[in-house]
Amino acid sequence: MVLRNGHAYLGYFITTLKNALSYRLGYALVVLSKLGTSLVMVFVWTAIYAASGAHEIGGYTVVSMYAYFFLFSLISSMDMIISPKIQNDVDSGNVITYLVKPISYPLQLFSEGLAELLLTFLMFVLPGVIIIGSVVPLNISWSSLALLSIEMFVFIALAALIDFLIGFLAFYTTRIWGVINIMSFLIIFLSGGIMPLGLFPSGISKALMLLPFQMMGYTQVETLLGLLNVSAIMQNIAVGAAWTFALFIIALAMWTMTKKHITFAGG
Amino acid sequence: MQEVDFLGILDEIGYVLLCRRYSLKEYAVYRGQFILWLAVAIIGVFFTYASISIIYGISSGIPGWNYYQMLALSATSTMFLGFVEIFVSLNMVTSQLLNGLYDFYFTMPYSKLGIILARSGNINTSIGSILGGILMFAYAIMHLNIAISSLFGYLILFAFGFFGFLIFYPMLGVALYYAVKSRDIGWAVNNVLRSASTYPLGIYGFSGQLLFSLLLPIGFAYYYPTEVLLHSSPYVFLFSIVGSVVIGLVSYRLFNVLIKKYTGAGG
Repeated sequence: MVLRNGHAYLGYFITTLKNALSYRLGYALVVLSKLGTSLVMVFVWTAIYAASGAHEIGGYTVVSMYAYFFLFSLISSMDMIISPKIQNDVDSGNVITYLVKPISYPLQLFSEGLAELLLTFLMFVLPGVIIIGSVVPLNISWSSLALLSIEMFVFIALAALIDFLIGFLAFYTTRIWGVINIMSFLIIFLSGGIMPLGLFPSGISKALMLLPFQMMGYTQVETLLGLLNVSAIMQNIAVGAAWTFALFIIALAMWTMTKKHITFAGG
Repeated sequence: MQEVDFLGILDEIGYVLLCRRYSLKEYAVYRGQFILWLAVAIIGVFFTYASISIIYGISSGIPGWNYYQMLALSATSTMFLGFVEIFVSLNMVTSQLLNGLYDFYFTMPYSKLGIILARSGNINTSIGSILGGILMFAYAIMHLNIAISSLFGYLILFAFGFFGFLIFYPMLGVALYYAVKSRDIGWAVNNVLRSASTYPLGIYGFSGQLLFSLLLPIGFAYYYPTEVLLHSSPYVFLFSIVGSVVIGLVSYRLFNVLIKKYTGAGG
């Protein structure tokens, strides 16, 4: 059914892209807010480096620390907005209109999410990385770009699967804003949004590398800055891929269970 | 000279407090949501604590501020924003102006400022922020040698800053609504302000200090009270009281000018 209705998902993709283009300001504000938060971290670390008099802290020079936060804010903007949509659809009852269609509801949401993601990438992330690259030397080579592409693929898959799992909870509890917020806090902190994961105490840092969140910003930025060697990158990708597979199985099982659970007033 | 209508002001305060009390009760009735939002805010506070601990673990920290002083400063910011958000959240003001949700309430026989304060709070995370902030503050001052008079001065400044911001935030929300017609603008500005107010004003340089004292005067909310708590400076105390009163008066004037132009979401 998925292959037979491929054109329908393409239709959702194009429609969402057109809609998103009309609301560019909203997307720009999300990216600007993240860049503003990064700017605060730049001031913080400038003061810390100046006070300590050190050239490097935890392997980061002051310039690489600046680049880390700006690159992180750009790359982490590339997540999908799936769970809030599921909650709204469940809350309003509109979800039934999607479920009776001969297409998969999760795949429809994924197509829409991909369109928003493409817009964010082309309008903000790519120009942003190019601007940062013109100021700070980035590790741009064919091999690093190939690794980065795989990392981005794993990131998008992980972010979507985590968001789906949270979104499916809406079928059981209706309101999931609290869970969405807890998860976004966890993701920001555990993916290195507040502090590079390498600066955490050694034991905690090693444990964090075994979680999926290291593939949601940290590994990509470290690859761009050339701060991770190839074997460490491959190890992080392998961990991310294993998590993607596990979360995919869980999400599939949960969706199957959820479809059986759905009941609506009137039928 | 214009006569001050004290009975009218008392009536307005009564209306605002009644609405907020009702919202708090309504919020607490849904216990699952209440506990979840409490967890969201406390996790946020924990991550702030963890970030500051890591910074002081790997470096000498922010110049002029020891570890416990930094915790006290961040706790003040967290508590302050928690208290203010019970009454007014930037995100709520901009999105409700855009959606026309105030149009009905503005027909009521209360001032528009009173109506915004009664209807624009974000209770969800504010209770957790206040509780988490109090815990972090108590932990910090247990390790600091604080005189009772300094604590008293801190509480007075906190109260003055709070009342100044109860007028400044609605004014800022309305100004942002006119400047950028997007529901995300309040959220974006609030994110950056929240992040900036975690750290001392000194790290932003002279221009940053001016910005956060005059244009976006968040300094009066968290920085100057903490300065008085830690260093008992009578000049800072006086400056902060005068500053908070000026913020309140100027914001009130500006608010009235801006809100007069509001013709409803319909145009």
